[in-house]
Amino acid sequence: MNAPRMVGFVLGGLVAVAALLAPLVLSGSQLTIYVLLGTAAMVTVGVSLLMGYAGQVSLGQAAFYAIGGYTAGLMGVHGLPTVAGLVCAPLVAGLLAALVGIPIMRLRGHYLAFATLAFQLILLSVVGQLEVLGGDIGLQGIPRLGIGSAQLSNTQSYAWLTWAATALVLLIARNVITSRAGRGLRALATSEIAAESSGVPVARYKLAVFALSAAFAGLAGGIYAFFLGYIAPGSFPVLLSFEFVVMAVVGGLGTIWGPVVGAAVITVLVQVLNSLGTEPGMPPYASSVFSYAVYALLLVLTLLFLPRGLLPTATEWVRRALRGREPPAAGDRPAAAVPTGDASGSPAR
Amino acid sequence: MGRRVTRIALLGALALVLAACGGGSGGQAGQAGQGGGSGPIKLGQIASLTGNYTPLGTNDQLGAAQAVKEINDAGGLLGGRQLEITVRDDKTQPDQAVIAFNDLASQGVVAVVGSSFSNSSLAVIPIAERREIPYVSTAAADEQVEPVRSYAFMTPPTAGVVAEQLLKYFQASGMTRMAVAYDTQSAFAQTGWNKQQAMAAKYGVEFVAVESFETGATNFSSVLTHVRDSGAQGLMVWATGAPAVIITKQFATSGLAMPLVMSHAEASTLYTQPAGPAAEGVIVASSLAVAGPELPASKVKDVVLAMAGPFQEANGYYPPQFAFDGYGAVKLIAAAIEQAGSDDPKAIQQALNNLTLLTPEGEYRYTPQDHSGLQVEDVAITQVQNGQFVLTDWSRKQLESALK
Repeated sequence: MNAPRMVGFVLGGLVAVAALLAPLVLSGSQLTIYVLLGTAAMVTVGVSLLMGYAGQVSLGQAAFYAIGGYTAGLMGVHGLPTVAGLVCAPLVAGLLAALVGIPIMRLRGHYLAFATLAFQLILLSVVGQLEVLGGDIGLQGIPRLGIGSAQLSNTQSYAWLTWAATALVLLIARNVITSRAGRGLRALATSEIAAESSGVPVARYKLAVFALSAAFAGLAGGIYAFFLGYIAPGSFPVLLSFEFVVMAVVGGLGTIWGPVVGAAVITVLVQVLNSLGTEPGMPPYASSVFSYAVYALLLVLTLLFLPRGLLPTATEWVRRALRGREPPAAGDRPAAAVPTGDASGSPAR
Repeated sequence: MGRRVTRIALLGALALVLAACGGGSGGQAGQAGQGGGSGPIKLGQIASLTGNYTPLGTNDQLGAAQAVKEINDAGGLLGGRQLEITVRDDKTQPDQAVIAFNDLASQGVVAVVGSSFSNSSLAVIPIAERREIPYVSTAAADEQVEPVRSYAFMTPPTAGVVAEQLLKYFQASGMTRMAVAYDTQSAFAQTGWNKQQAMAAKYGVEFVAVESFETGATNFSSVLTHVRDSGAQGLMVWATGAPAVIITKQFATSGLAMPLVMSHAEASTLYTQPAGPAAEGVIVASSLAVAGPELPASKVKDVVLAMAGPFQEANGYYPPQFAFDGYGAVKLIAAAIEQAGSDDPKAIQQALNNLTLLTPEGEYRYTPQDHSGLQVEDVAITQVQNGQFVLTDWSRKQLESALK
């Protein structure tokens, strides 16, 4: 193991341990943010896998988040064991993605993005119509997660559940990426034709990674439903799907930890801007200014100056610092060398 | 150069993260403020300051702030204690409302003025129940108070009472064969229509055409054709926002010679301004506050004008329904604090449970069984004339006898 990798390993471990201990010191509202951050990270890992490694774009990931939430919520409301609901959430989301994916994964680029977006819009409409799903009023009174009479009742326990689920998602993502299939995925992201001619089963791999990313979103949705106890079509707006993509891009596509960094930074940023905008003495329009203008400005600056995302850029700095006074090698300044267009494509190439 | 800028950007981001960690941890200290004491009384407010409901949320905030100022100018509560209100944005998202509520609760607020986004309120109510903090919602969905939950109250008239008052108006105006068009994607519209349908027979009204559409609909020609063919005497529309405006415009050019009727969701300039001349003559249900200056001389009219005057002076427009909702919610909580003689959340809940208070929207009569408080008589039926909501003769007569 070389030095930068070692540093990454130690850093990752430290972050994991810090995140594991954090619920002990966080207050009520911070714990809520922690849980929502964790669920966002899980979905974003899927988005990053899809966009960063497989080169496919999904603008409808919140649909699978919703499917997971409704699966878990519905089973809970009807008195089925909540643990079964949590297990079924990713399975149903993954299965539905596989079904929907058969036709739409034939599309590429923008067409695929539009198809996933349309899928979410259709799903939200249908859910809003269905009385059994609570319609637009939503599904109320979802029980808390538990086995028998033992229930996860406090926010802290949901924080740890989220931690464990995020760890599981990261582990699966890592194993997929480092496997033979992962290499195939990276190949098809660069050129489907080249990958196919080298024996990569392109269609099957694309569908599988789409279903896997949906399963991650489904698991997150299941936790979300049990945690909040209430879901409605309004809980999963199209903007949420965009936010997941933003998180993935800001964190750094084509890395395992990037989505976690992206989810953390965006979630915290949104909360900070919200607090600033509603400080006493702020004018009534301050909220809009902070939530739209300042937020957008920070995103634009990030994409302009750190087009590869926060994590890859930071990693590069660490690598450079470790190399010390060694003469800079070619390609030492990738942040400047990589064209910005790459941020929306597949920097894993 | 590029490298330095990059570093500055990242440092900035880091500073923000640190600020977030530092900013949030101050919350716990407020816990001690609950219960007795002599410091200011802390209220919380969740408002949709960004997202789809921004026009509603900002007015909720303005209305609530005005009520707080009025109370403080008049000497505060419980013998001179000032009222403080902390606002949080729910971004028109239920989960953000939950974050906001938990944040406010950890700051030791004794009651919360709720969001005007029904989904946000429905997400928060179970938590308000668990944490035993009164939540006075400004959202319209009947489901917030049906079934009754101990700590959840609401200020707008329910869709149920509006639906019933409209049926009374139809009956009195001889409009017994009606058509309806409703937005299937709006919970509010769906509830309103369901209630109206259930009560129609009681008032001798028959719905001869039932049309539905989606929030994003832009072409209502097939709806209007069906209405024309049905021989209905009027078209009732249950919708909020854009579709209500679009159907109004298309109705105006369709040549249909029958009244167009809107629910109280359209009782604001957010409807009349974009609809423009097409809205002329449309029948709109509203709270008493919106019909304000038009009301017959009464106590309600006095409190409406007392609210509307300063609001108009400060903001340059007549307060919309949402401002009255925010204003009323603070007044209701304040009255409950005075009645309880305490700022303990549980005592406030007990007081709200049996509170009668005159506000610009009418006289609220909260009981352990009724947490919406407003009655059928508190709904005005107006007609749009020159962009203003003018009381219909029928409604004026009703109010003259009811408000005496």
